[in-house]
Amino acid sequence: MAISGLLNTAKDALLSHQLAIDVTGSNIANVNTPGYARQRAVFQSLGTIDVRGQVFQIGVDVTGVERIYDSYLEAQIVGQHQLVGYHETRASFLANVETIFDESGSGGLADLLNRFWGDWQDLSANPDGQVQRAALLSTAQSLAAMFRNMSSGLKTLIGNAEQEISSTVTKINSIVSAIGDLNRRVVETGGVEGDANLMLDNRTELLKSLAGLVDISIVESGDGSVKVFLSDGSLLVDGVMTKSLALAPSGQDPTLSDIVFADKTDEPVTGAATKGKLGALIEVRDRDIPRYLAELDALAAGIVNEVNTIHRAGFDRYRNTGIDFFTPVTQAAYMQVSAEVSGDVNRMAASATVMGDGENALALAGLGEKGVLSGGMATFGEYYTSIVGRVGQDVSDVNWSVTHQNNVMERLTNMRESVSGVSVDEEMIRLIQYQLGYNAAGKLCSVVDEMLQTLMGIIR
Amino acid sequence: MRVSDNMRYYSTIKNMNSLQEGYNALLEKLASQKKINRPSDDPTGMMKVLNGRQTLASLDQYRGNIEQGTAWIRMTDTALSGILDLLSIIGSAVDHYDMEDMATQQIYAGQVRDTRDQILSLANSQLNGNHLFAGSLVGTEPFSAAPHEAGVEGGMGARNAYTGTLVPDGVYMGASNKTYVVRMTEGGTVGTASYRISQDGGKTWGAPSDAWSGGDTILLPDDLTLTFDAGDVGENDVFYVKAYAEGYYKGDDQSLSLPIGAGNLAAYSTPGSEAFAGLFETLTALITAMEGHDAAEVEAQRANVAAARERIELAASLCSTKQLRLEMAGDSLSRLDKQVTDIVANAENADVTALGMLLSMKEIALKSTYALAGGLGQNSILNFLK
Repeated sequence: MAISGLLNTAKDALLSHQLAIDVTGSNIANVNTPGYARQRAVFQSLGTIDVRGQVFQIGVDVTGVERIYDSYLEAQIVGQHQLVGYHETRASFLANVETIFDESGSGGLADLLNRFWGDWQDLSANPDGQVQRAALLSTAQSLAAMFRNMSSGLKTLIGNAEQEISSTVTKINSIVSAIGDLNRRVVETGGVEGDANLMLDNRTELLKSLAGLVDISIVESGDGSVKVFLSDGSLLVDGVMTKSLALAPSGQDPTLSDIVFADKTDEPVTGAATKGKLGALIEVRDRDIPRYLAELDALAAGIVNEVNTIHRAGFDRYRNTGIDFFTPVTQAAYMQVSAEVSGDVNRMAASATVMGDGENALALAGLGEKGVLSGGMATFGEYYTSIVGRVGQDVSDVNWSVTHQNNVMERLTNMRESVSGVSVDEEMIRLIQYQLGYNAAGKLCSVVDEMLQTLMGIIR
Repeated sequence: MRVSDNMRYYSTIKNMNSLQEGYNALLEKLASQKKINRPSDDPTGMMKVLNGRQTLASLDQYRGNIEQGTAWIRMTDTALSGILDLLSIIGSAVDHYDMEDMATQQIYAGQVRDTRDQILSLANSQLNGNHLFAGSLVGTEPFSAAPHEAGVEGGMGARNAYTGTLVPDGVYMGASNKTYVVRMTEGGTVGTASYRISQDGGKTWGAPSDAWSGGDTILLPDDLTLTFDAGDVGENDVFYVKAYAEGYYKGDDQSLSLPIGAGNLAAYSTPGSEAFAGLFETLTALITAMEGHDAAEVEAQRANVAAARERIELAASLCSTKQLRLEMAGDSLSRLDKQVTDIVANAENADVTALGMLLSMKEIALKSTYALAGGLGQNSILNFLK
């Protein structure tokens, strides 16, 4: 081997260690970068010499910059993002529902219901009493207003979910587009790992973000690009090809939207969103809140029907038969005391006979303890209590799920960090290691230089 | 296992958040003194609390009813006792009547007449404007000074569509007062509109009918009639006929009742028709006999006075029974109230002492976490590099 060859070996060593120090520097610089996977320079000996029939490796080269990650863990984290996104979003909405049904203090619907039945009983003891009639009217109006407010609050939450669905779809489209772009660049850079690693990290982060929004499955292609599918198998990303989601008026309720593909608006894919933020938004918009609303409506309609039925059977102070006490409606949103009764408390039919007794008021007061709803098994108060209990249980369950899924996420993140995360201590040792290699290569240069000087001196 | 720098930070931040969340939850419970501050804190406990509150509201209402019923019964008892005292005076007058001269007999007659007036006043006693002995017709003065003939009175709802006059007619032969109600089930012209009749003031109704007599008259039970002017009646127009039996009483036979528990109605009033049956007829006959110096007739009324006295004593005795029932129900409600209050309190109220202990423990844990967080990064290989 010629002396000049030795110089080349020293040069290769210098450049290789400098590159390794560059990579270490990158690791240190990105110690706090989310999604960054630590990298490692891959050293490989370069070239051989034949000495008396034996082959020795000489020289070194950095053949690549390895991105250290566990693809199985990354896939698990993507899946976990779907669950965390789903439960956190649902928890946030249900917490708002809980404030609507909050009965921890006094002044809630349960209290008003108790007062309403109590006021009828007070009226039964003094059927001609104007004070009792005015008090009953006030309570009944408060009760109806409470039903309207609760219904309105739930409908507002449905509206909020609808708005968030729209913004989430926009965000999904943006991420999908970015993933397609990164797919293109990953394929274009081919085997140039240093460039590709940055894009792969970014793409992995985008996939996690996308998973937090909607449930997806991912398949990696041979060229380095990924395919992304919705849960129903619809293709969202295929290499550089991406599809956009859009909203179209729902066939069941035109005030709400179905999720469709922008190029196929007549085929809803709403059902494909069962996890992630979008899945949760659809769950609360289409199932959770409508169920509470339906139960509230059933309660309101039950009270309206039963009170009106008994009220109509009685006689008012004018000795006329009773009219509807509440405007006959089937939804809590429209519950109100009838205009006639509101305008004249003497229209309240407290008497069971034309003689002005208080027996009809007593019968109405008795409604508070009569099993009317749930097939005659539950009083109005018990039915409402069961709604509050169910809301509380749902919130409690979803909060537990959030805690659990976040714990799983933390564990997976720690496992991922253990594999791909940067340890400054480790990098500093690597730095010392590569610096030492670099210094040694420099010394080699210096020795070769001296050898050359010696050789040149002999020639002179 | 490799430990990256971020693992330390993530773990510390998570533990700190978790501790702060628990610390805040404890502070909230301490501040509110309640362990349930929202339904999700304890859904089952929240349901217990709401059911308990509902029960307490009912118990409160029942206790109010018992107070009201008790006041009514006491007032009734006082009136009946007064009447019994007055009947003793009358009894004494009857006892001595035939032994006295005519002038004294006249004085006795005057005394009985005055006493009768006092009894009448007591029989028309009111509580908060309601007549104690009128049955369910608490707005009607039950007894009159002079006997009335059997008769009918008509009336109609003030908000009827029908604006014509109404003529009730017929001779009522029933033994007790009744109220008949006619309700139009469909509006239309008099003579064709369909209606239903109630014989108990409007509580229960007979079958629908469109039979009219002579084109303008509805035939009521007990041979009574109700005649309309030509014109239209509206749907649900109400017309009524009060039919009075001959005598002094204008109330009805119904007893008032109030709920004092779930499905537990307690009657608390005493209809005058029951307590004072024949009393005023007897007293009127006695006064007439005394004023006519008819000693034999006075003697003959002695048994009627005694019978009236027995009926009033029986009514007073029933008052005591009713009052006892209300008192027992009240005691039972008070015990139940305490039990339910305890259940609600146990489900809802926080154990402040236990919370204080937990808060101290959380504070110590938080301080440890802060100390740990403050030391993060202090031990590093960087400290050993030149």
